[in-house]
Amino acid sequence: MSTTEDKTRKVKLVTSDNEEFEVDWEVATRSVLIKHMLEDIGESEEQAIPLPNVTANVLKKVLEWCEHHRKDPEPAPESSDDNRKRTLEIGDWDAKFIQVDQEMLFEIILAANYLDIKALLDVGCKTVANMIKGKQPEEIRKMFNIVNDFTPEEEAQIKKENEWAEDR
Amino acid sequence: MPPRKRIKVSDEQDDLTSETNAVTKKKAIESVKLSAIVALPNEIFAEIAKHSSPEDLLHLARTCRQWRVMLMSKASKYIWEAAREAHSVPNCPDDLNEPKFADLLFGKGCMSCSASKTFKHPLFEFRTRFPDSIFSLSFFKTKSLYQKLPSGLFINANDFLSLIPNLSLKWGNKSGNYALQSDCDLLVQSLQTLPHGSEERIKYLEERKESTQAIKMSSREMRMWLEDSERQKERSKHESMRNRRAEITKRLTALGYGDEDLDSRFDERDWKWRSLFDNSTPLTERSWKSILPQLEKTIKLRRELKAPQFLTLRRSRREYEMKTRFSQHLPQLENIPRHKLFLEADLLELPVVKELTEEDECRVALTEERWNGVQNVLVQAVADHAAKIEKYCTDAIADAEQGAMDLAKERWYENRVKSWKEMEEAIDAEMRELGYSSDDSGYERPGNMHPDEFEENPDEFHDIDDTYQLDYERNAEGPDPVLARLTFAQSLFERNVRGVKTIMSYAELLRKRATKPLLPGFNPDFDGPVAWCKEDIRTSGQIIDTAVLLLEHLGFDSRTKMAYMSACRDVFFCRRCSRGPASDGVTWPKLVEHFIYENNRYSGLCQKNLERDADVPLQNDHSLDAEEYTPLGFGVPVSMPKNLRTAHGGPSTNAGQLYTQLEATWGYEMPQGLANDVEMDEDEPVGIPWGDMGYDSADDLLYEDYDTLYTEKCKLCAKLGVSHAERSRIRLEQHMKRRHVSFTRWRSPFL
Repeated sequence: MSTTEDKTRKVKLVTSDNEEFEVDWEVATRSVLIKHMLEDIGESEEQAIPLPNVTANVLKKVLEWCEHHRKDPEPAPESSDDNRKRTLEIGDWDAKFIQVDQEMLFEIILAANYLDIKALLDVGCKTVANMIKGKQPEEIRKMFNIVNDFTPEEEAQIKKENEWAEDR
Repeated sequence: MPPRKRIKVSDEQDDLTSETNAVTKKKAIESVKLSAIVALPNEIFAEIAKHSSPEDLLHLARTCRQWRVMLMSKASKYIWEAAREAHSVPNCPDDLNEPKFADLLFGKGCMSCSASKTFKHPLFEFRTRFPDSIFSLSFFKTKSLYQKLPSGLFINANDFLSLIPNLSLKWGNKSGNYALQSDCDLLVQSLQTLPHGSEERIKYLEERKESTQAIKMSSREMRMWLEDSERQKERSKHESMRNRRAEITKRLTALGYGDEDLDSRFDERDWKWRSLFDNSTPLTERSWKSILPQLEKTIKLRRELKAPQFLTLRRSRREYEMKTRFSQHLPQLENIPRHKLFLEADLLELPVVKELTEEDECRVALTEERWNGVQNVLVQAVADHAAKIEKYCTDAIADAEQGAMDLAKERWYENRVKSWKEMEEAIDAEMRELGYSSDDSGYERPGNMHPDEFEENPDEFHDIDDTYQLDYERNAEGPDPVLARLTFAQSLFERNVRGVKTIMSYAELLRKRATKPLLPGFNPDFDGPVAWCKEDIRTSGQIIDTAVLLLEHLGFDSRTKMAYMSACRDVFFCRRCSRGPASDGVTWPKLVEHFIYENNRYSGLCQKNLERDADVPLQNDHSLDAEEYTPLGFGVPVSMPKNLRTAHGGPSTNAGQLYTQLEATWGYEMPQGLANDVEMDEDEPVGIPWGDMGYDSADDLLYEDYDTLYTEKCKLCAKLGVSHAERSRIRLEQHMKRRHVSFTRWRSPFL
């Protein structure tokens, strides 16, 4: 439970390329990872939190998202019917926010996964899923520069093989 | 919560990858930087996959080895389940696994061969998609099952059928209930190994029945889902298309383009427009940038090449606005006499209306204020209109009267000259008989005055004047009389509608204009009445002269009223024609039309004879000049039942002398198609031979082949380019005699 004092508190974050960011406690704690770390180090400490898996330009982008979503309610714990509610719709601001090149997109996804920001990870994954939606394998390969490592014979064969690998 | 375990990609697979595609992969790495997507940890890829549809998962599993290994692992079942549930796809049936189920629902092409064209929907009961071309090789009709079952199975065909999936199908011209041959063979084999009555067999049959029932139920569910999903897709496609259209229109409007710039109705086939609009792909900034130049190019072409069409369109809109206002305003004009003669087309010809319509190239819509300007002159225009029509017709008749008189006098003169010549020849013959020569002074030549030597016009000239001049007559008495000159039997007009000329009376002419079709859409040829100033209506000396001569031959006075002739209806017969409407009886205007047509045709044939130097003997059997036809041995050319002219048997009408009487007949016209069923079509063509086609009536043409019915061809007509034949040799001889002077004289060399 956050207190009024928490909300005015500043948090220091250090990226893998040694850049330091000072952000509001409320913004930083959108990340479950940072939140847990802050809880671990205690309130009195003014210690910077190291984020060795995130670069400065990615963290900047992630913090931009956290800033915008600082007031969002805590995500509800995942329920059993979570999957059924899944849609590919993304809010307008998020859609604009995520309009970045592929490299940055995947960096954001990785950072969101590492920092444990469920909502941001969802936005990233939905964006990629949207990019894949309705595309044929060849189009997917072209879009993501994936090498086709099937031989033509294999490619023809896999169209007919739809059993679990273990059952074959 | 889905299991968050990492799926291991086997080393073996990796080895295979490097072996099979090492060269390609190396090349690819060298040329383009590989996307980070393949480097994502499997749990993140699984997160992405969970947001995808089962169809997308199938595609991902066919994209590269790494993803295939991951997605086709049983451990990934939760991803497929998540994707299925998120997209409301029915549960996977027990007899299928998730990828196979997804392939059955979303895949394309045959599931067992390379054929790409299959039945529209998967054959869910058989868990396959199959090409209809080779369907009959693997499937059989279940009604032939009893022949297929070997003896000793101890099961009847119906029970057997409940143990294998079967499906009722219809495609092309084939239909029936079908089952898979392999299912049948497998069941037969199993039954043969299980002894009859054994517990094993009973259990097997029960299981089999249950599984078949389950397949049936799940197939039904799948089919319903698929149909529903297709409908949904179609709906969303239309929705996207509509959104795209609206977005493009909005953007073009914002750029300053007007309605006509965005109107594609006159576009040429190769102009790009609809293909850019009618697309379900959402409009992005990038696609907008790419389509905008193409759209602007089309708009430019429209402005350059289709301006006249748009002007016509705008004009028709303005005219429609005018007509709508006019029809709303009509009740206020009903007190004006003969207001029905003023048509919408006449309104559009008024100068004030033309000016308003054409203003700024027809761009200014009709407002209340602008309509007031029209309304101010409308009452006077409607009142003047009927008078204008009457004046035009009266003047035309007056001119034609003069022409007819000239024709009659010319004819009189020619006949007199002819008589003079005959007399001269007779005198010469008599002189030679008596032994005198022309120089002998002892011979006193009898007097024979040449028509040119007459000092003053003979009495016949005065008779002609009396007969032809109609303006001596007084108008009928009444509040709204029709001018007397327009009420006589010879006051006929020729109306030309798209090249079809029809002769009609003044009353009929007005009726035609003031009468609307009962069902405007019923007659596809009806394209609305034209303005009076655009009508092609005329009359001529020939029309009046023909009418006067016909009246004379029928024994009528030259002052006979048109109303009387109209009341006689179709009782006028041409005595010269053995077939065609005129031989069966026609109305008075049609009779005049027939004789004019025949006489013109004769003149045409004479002309052809000269041009072709054909030397075909011709004579005018439809001549109305007694001095011309009597020597040929012909009688009076026209007739009508005698009792019609008696006081008791005939019409004695004086109707049609007042406009109020005429107006009573102006209303609605029966559709042409229905009118044909009720009475004979008045526009039947006439001719020698009738209508050039040589058929007796429309019925003959419908039911009989002309060549078999009319076998005797006239070679003389053929020489002048007229295809003509008669039913029999006797008929042909009659034709020869009537048309080509004498059959006997001209038997050879033509026949």
